Amino acid sequence: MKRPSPVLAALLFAASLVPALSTLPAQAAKRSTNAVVSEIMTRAIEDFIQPGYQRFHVASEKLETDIETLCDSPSDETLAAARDAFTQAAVSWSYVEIIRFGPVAGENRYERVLYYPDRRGVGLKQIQSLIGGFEPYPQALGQLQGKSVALQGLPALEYALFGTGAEALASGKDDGRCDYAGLVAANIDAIARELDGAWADPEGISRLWMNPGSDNPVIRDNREALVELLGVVVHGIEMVRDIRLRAFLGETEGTDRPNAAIYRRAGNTFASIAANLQGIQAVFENSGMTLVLSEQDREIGYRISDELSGAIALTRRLQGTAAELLASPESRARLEELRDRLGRIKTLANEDYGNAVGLTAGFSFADGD
Amino acid sequence: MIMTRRLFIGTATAGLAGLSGLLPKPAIAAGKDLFAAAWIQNGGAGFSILDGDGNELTSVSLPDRGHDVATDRAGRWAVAFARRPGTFAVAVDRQNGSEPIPFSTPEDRHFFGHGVFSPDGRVLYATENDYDNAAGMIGIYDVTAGFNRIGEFPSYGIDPHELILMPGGKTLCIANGGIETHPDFGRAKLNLASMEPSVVFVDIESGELLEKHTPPADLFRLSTRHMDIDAAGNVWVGCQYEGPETDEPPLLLRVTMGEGYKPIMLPDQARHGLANYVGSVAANRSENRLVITSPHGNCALVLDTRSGNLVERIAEKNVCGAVAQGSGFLLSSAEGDFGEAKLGRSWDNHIARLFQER
Repeated sequence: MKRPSPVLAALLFAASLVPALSTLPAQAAKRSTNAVVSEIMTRAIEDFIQPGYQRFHVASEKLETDIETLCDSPSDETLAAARDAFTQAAVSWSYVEIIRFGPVAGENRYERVLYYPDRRGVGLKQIQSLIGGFEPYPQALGQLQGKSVALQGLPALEYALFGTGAEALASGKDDGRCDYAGLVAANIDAIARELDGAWADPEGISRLWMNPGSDNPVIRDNREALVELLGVVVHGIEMVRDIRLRAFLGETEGTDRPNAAIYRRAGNTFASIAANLQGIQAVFENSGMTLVLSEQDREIGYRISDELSGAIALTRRLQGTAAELLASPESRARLEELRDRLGRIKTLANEDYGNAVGLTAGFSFADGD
Repeated sequence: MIMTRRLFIGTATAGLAGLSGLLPKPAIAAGKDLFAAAWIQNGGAGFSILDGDGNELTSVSLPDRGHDVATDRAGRWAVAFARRPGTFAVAVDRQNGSEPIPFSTPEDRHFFGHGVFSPDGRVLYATENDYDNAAGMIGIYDVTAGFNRIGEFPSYGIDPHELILMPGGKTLCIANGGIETHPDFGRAKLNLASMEPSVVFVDIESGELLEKHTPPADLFRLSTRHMDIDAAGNVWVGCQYEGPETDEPPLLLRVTMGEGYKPIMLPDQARHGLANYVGSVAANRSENRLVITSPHGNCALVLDTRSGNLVERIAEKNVCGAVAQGSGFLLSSAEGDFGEAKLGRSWDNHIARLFQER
């Protein structure tokens, strides 16, 4: 169980004045809450979002460099290095991909990095058409950026580096496949640079998020700020359970779909899921979201932390591909255990935490419809 | 207080006794304003028929969270639909007081939460998802045969949400939200990079497309979802924006058959207050007023439908349900507010009127 960090301990007194955001009558208590929420938003940005995008940017730069090396000097070693760089980039993206607000929501940046799930196999067909020689490869970054998002990001690059025929990359006889991989890596790096730069700009999006106020066009008050962060946790858990895990784990063995697992070709399925969960844990714990809970409700925060830690530990113990794990009743049961644990976290965050901070019907009640 | 007092001149809501029960009451209280709305409470879900003072006449359990309630012009039927990706609907016959009638979509469809009756009340049209083909459909249900599903036609878009009957009763207007979802992935939005919102007019008899209006390319993430009609026959469409929070798209459109879209420009502060999300739209045709609500922005805006100008801003936590009442509007919220009443239920996004034509 992770308790609030010592750095935040000084804020606990202020927080203890605040039973719930919705029941703050006194001006003094309001000031205290302002300070706590502002601190939470600042920590979420400085301790999670900014370093997360910075790490993704660094990993993307290395990916671009290593693929350039592969194309210039093809060999088993340079291919292995490029594949390893892919894994690092995919995992560093997985850590921050739960952030769906801010610049990642603009210019299709999220989808250009990660087009997934590809439920009808549209993206796969497009990539296979390119690599199979049925469509010409884009020759410049601008050309690639004008094509389908499915051809621009990590799944396309995974197929180029790990998919059928990828071994030709080690020999240099790849008919343009390596250059295409290089363009995709350059595109991912360009997006990573934009995201990193936008959040690092002290006068940019960070300032808006750290300073809720009536004249702020994005976050007008503390409640909105906290609801947005809670949304990262609730929607993040939903995403991992519904789009990552249930993508291949059916309700029954007969409905399993191992080929739908994310990054299955690169063998990164569970490393990615673990990074997703670590990102959610970082948002919840590093920001100190437990601080706005009253003394009596603080146990909810500790339970969420415990369940998240358990889910991460469980995911790390999942060794092998989705297909291998689904084939064994014992390991399949562990996947079901993970799914159920994620369901418990969602309930805790959505209902228990949501109610505790004044969202009467829970967080998800206001989800779009 | 959750009613637009300034517009509220007088209604006929006084006097209904606080009747509540598990079964529908057979009598139809002619002349009274009655409403229907879905709710959740303590982990349970249902929908209620109640008067404008919050007195419940009927309360029916639902297997899961409902969304909107469709009502026929005679005031006989109230049909609550599941929220997406639910597959159930429950019909209450207020004339005969019989047990509620449950019905559902076929296996490869789910409801989107909205429906509308034909003018004669014999047919019910519901927005549905043909999710394996990512195609919007309008399911057709025979009211006279226990809501047996007798056919369907396309919505000519993805993600049909609210649909309304145009004046004259021969044309449906359908808001296609443009967002692909599939029950295998819960409520996840699968195509945000290639959304295709549209508002279409369809011949109710043939199911043929009459007109299709799509937002300009730079607004492809503007999901068109909720609607009502003003006294002049214009359709007012409330939108939800799926792009960056810092963008400032128009969140209200006026669509006129034969003409197309006109974005309604709201004052900056009012637009910011909507948090890029409109949850419900309701017109008061006799007063030339329109209300749009935003539970995300905790506010409702009242506009003049003749000028498009903002008339009033109401701050209310989690407000969403809206319907014309008297010379004003009746609003509800997830906090339990239903007009002036405070009930221990979280009201879903919409309020339906039982007597549409008085």
